[in-house]
Amino acid sequence: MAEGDDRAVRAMVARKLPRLLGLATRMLGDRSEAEDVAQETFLRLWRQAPVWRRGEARLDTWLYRVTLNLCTDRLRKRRETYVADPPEQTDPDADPARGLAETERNDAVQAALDALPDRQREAIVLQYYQELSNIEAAAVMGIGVEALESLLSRARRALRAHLAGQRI
Amino acid sequence: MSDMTLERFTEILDAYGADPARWPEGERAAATAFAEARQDLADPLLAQAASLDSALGGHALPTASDALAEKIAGSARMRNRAKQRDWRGLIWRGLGFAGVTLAGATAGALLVATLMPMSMPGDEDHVITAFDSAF
Repeated sequence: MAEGDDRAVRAMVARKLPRLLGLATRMLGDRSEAEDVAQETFLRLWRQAPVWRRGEARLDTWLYRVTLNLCTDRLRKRRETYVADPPEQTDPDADPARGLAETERNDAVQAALDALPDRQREAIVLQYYQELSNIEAAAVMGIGVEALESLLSRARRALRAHLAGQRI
Repeated sequence: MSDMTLERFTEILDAYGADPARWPEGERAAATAFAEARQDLADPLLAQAASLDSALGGHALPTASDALAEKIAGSARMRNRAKQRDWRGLIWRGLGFAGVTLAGATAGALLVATLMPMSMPGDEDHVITAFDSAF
């Protein structure tokens, strides 16, 4: 990998891309931006690979942290730019064959996630969707387990309230 | 079970949901035992947490496209090529610098050899010899 072996690169992309893309998509609610974030994360990985030291930090933790930081930057810029007129978030890859009910459910959950404060959204995406343990999720977010638990509780309460209004 | 309270069990479900696999590893056994021993208390809490889990679990995402994966793998190849170019450039610049230094040194040596009067080996010996022979 550090030597840039093409097969190792492809294997790394195949293994990590789906999860990083999922993380960015749920954080940003925008597939196209999420793809940009995933590409930037890998560019940083390629730059880091030659000096990567085993045991210095877990690769997954590092990748999640980079992805989250890139998402946070974009969310901040988006808020600064579109405060008055938020962009309509559409899924360019939406499958027309997918049932209407499923699409509505997806949109409702994404809207509920979007409505969360950033740190709560990070916590629930890492713990629930990325299936990290509480210790791993806390490490990625740079907080203690108790703080993570508090964020998760508030996130789930807010999601329940939001989705109850949608009857999901 | 003895070290799991209803309050803590509720906190765990509030934060992590109804699936024991997502509960904190160190408390999983105690929380599971509590759920089995106190179903009257645990079941309504588990049902409420499971309902939210189910709603969240319905959020599906399209898979990553092959085109995106190929683009990302390509970015690694491009970076490696750029790095190789950098190394080659560094080597050529190094060789160039060494060549210029060598040429400068040679030119300097030739200049010194041309402009400076050369002392002939043996001249001094010759003078001394002549002086010696006068006495």
